[in-house]
Amino acid sequence: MSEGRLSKRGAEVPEPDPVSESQLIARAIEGDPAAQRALYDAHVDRVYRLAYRVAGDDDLARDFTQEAFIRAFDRLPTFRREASFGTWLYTIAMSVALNGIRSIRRLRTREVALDAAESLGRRDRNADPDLKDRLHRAIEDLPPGYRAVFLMHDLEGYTHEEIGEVLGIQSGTSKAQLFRARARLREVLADFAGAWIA
Amino acid sequence: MSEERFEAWLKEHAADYHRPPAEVPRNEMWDAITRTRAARPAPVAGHIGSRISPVRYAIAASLLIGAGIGLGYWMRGPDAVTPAVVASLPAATDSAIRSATYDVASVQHLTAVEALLTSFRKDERAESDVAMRRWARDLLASTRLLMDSPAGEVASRRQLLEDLEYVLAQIVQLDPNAPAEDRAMVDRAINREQVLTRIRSTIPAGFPSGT
Repeated sequence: MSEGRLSKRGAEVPEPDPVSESQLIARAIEGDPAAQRALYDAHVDRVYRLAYRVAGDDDLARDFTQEAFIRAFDRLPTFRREASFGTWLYTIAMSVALNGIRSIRRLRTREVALDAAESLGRRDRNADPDLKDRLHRAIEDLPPGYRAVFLMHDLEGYTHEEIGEVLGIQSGTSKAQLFRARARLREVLADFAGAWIA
Repeated sequence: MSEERFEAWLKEHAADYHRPPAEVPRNEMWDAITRTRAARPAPVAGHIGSRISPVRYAIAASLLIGAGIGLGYWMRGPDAVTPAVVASLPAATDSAIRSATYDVASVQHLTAVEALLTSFRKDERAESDVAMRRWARDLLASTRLLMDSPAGEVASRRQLLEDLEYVLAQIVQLDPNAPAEDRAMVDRAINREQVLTRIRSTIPAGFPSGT
């Protein structure tokens, strides 16, 4: 991940320059709370934004962000500087968020299935959700890999190279996933084609 | 042109999806982080044990596959239907052939994933080995290809492939010096989703096993 890059839509917080960040990391490993706080301040906005995009809920986004930083500080002595600290941190954050939301979704799916069974007779079959709801639900229904790439690229402005580093995939795979995600959304939203053709 | 319009429209309208609040609760989260860390014992640095070479994994994988094929032939016995007999059956329709092809590809893929996951669980240092992660990455790519193919249209198989994608992605992302808790998280995912049991129940009896 390139240092100092600003997310297209993300929080406009410049990353610290590599030299000072390297010093901060060394001090943070020694347990310097001020250095740990400085690293936190430099990256927390982007970590929180990513977590929120995945979770869609403030409490969950906070939990995921906190967990990501706790893990990162615990593992800091093993950080090998092969990637930038930011990339390494966002990798942890995405892993925490995707794993967390996966577990939660499974629970919710079971709950919703029960609720749906109970309210089957009461449902209004003529209800036609509007475009925004359909779009959001379609994004929600994307396979996890497609969704992660879509959120990072189209909503948070990460490049395919950055996404590849963070998600542990090739940048070409990231491009392919995004292409498929968009194709799937387009297919699901075909009823609304007039909205973008007009 | 239509594609570009759709992308532009999509970016504009999807921007509201899970849009984070403008204000990030920095101090509250920092307080929670420091409280949690203070309440826990100091983390133990990941051990650096002797690493298993990629060659050993390659040999182990070859032995596993060889043993599986041998076992498969042995289990089929002398009266088993041979490929020549299969070839003489009435010609199937194109769709049936295509479906059968994807079935076979899926089963072959699942045996390979089973071998990987079994190796991963048997070796506590597996995540530190480059070959293991490369193997997982290859299988992750194959899993995604299958998900996008007609093989992924069967609901039960698709669910299994999605779970495999999740588990394989975790293995690929494991840091070589990851603490034991990360590895335990992958183990828990394998257990929680009953991945190995489901793979084994999907592989037909007599098919060369991955383990």
